[in-house]
Amino acid sequence: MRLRLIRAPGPSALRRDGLLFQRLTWGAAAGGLATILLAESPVLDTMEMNLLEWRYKTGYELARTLKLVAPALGGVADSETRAQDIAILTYDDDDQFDLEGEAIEGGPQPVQAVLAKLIPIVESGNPLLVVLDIDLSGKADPSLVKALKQYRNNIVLALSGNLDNPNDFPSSELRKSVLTCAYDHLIKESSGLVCRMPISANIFMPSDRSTEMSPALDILPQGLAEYTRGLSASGEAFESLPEVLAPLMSSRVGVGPSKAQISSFTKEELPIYIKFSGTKYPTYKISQIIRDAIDPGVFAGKVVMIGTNFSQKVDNTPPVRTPLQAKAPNVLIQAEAISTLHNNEAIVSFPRSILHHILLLLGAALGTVASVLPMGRRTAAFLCTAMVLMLLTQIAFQWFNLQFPVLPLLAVLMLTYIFGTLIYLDTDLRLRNKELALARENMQVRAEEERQRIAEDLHDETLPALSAVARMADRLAHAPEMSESSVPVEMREKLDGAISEMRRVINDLHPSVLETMGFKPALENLLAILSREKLIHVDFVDGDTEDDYGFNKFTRLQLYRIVQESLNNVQKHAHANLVKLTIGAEGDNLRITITDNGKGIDFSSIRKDAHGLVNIRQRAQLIGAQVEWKKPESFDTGTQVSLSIPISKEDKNNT
Amino acid sequence: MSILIVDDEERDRIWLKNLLTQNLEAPYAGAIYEGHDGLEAVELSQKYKPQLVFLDIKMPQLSGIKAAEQILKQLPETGVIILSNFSDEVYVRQLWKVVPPNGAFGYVLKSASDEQVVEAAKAVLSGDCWVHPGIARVIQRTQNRATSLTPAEYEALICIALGMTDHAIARKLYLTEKAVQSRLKSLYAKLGIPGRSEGHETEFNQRCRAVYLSNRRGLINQSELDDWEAKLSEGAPT
Repeated sequence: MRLRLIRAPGPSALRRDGLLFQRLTWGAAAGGLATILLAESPVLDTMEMNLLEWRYKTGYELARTLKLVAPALGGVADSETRAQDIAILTYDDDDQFDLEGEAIEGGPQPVQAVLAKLIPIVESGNPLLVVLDIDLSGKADPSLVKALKQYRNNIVLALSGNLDNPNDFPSSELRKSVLTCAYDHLIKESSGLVCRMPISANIFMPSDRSTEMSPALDILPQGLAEYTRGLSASGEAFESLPEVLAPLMSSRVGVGPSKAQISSFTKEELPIYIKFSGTKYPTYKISQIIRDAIDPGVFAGKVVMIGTNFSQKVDNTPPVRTPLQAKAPNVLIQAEAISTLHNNEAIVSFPRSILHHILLLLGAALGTVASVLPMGRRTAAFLCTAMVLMLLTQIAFQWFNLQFPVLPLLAVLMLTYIFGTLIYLDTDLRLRNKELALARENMQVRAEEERQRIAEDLHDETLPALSAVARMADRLAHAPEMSESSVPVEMREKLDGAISEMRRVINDLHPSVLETMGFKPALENLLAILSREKLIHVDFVDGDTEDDYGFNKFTRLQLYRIVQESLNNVQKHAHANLVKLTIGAEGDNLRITITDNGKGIDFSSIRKDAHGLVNIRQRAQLIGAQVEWKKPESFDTGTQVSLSIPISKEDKNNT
Repeated sequence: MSILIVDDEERDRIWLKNLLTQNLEAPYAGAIYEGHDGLEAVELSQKYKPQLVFLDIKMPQLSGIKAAEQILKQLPETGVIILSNFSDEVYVRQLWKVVPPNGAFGYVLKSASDEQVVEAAKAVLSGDCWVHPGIARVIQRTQNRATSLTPAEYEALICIALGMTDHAIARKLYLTEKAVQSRLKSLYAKLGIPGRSEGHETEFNQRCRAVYLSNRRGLINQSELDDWEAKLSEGAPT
């Protein structure tokens, strides 16, 4: 007696569990794959940069709109004072054509003219930083050359022209003078010079970030690095560029553009970082200056930016624009604006290495979610997730200065959504097919049960009743008053006919031999019937002593019917005189083969209306058996039907 | 001397009991026991050691065939009659297998007439076999191939059992007398009756012996012969 403590889950539950597991596995795999494909994509990085620009704009707009609501937002309140630090000189139109073109009547270039106008500031002893992105082409302005030479200690030129390019500096005189005052953190690039202003790291860097930034400082020229370290070590955070610039310049008195130092900058770069956000800088037009409409004195102690570009990135990734004021839309900042300041705080980019791991996990998780979520809810869920993600990252950017690359995330979200949906649909289809098969099986089982019930009713009720009537006819036949009549005898004969017809019907409905005699004797009986009806020599080869191999009633009945159908085929079509049925366990399978020496099956000719074979196949499928037809090895012609069905332990418990 | 009737249908038990009481002589009619399933059949036969057991096939607990097997294992002398609604010869064959070689058994369908049932009971009590007409016709062909009769031999057997002469048989079956004799010869061989050619006079008349032996084995019986008589008088040999 076996005690069953735990009820095993039903077959349907098992199927569902298996399906869930399958979905989770495939979903996770697909999600992970999507992440691996996308997380490192350079296209996405570029898109991320564009998105960052959008963030700046949005952040700026938000900060402006929210100013009334939340005036505490950093950087906005004291923007007026800082606005004095930087002056921007823009061209009269957005193009550079008016500057590239000829100067007024053979005179010096407008930029030179502008620079010349700034000379009085230098003369007055104030330091001057000019960020310049335009070439100093044209005829050299003698007064500018003179001033540059004379006040080279007091002037810093950051420019992106190529000093060796005669097109950029046609005047050797001017070139020489620019060289003497161009600061030594100029980097030579194929496209020109990029100003590397190490000071920026100091200005906006809160003291506690100094260690993080120190590697950047290491690449500075020796003296400068010491200087900046000195600044950060003392915990000073400068709010103004010129404030730093002045002592820096004084500490670097007399230093010219040494080529040896230039080469040390080729590998790393320190972009100029200037806080733009939330600040309105005074902007002047170049023509105003040339026409003396503005007193150059206003530029004293300020950083003067001239032109549209003042920086260019080495790897040519597009620069990111920051929202400046409307009048100066084209001042560009390095693409690495991730570290750029926002609201006077350093923007921290989420560490990439950690991000990738998180992304991978998230991708897998999303994949599993996508493959399990029901159809109706998944779209809403994913759209909501995408929106929430965008919102969260924007909030992180706006208030916590944390830049989180959201595009890879969105891409992963999208791909996992697609993958997950496909997986869901695919597995759902398979589940439905399985359920359909199960339903069909149930229907078959019910139909068989019904047939058996009818057969039993006929056997238990109708047959005895008919027999009783037949015996009544017998009595009538013996009754003296009926001795002359043949009716009772005829009645008896008719009833006998009806009874044997009834027996045939009952047997067709449900072969009771299976229950009363057992499985193998029932099969043997089929052979015996065949042998009797067709005078075919039959052979029953029993491989072992087991009777029904623990198959349940339904399976036994289907096997019986398959054998019956096969023998029917032999009887009807094969013209055989020898039929052999072997039965026996082969490993974990029960194998039944029916071999005849008839004319064999011509599959090409019977395929269309082979009801018998289709029937056999369907029954076999129903009980999970395999059927195959082939030419027998033991006979020259004929057919061999092989039936193989696993003998499972589970079925034994169900009988 | 007693009779055991085992059937799960009370209606059938009553009918059979009445039938036997009315038609059998005193020693049997007196002690008729009843049971209603296969296990009970085995128990009761151990208890009463009946000479004759009527068994239905489809019964709870144990089928009639299996019950017969168990009963005959312990009491091989018991005469077993299966009285059922199943006409499958597989049951007869199975019964044939479980009954000892010299034992007696009967296979009667429930649609049988009262006379047939009594006839079967009497046959089995006297040590003969009785198989319901119709089933007998098919069973004789599907037994052990070496000893089973061919349709031609079976026809010849029926004819001699009906008392026909060689000449009459030949006419009836549209054969020459020589062909009839050769059929009879092979019939005798299969029934194990020594031929005249095997030396001196035999103790038996071959024809009578053949009828006796096939009757014993249940190859033919009264009802069967009645059927054939009717058919042959219509002039249509099968």
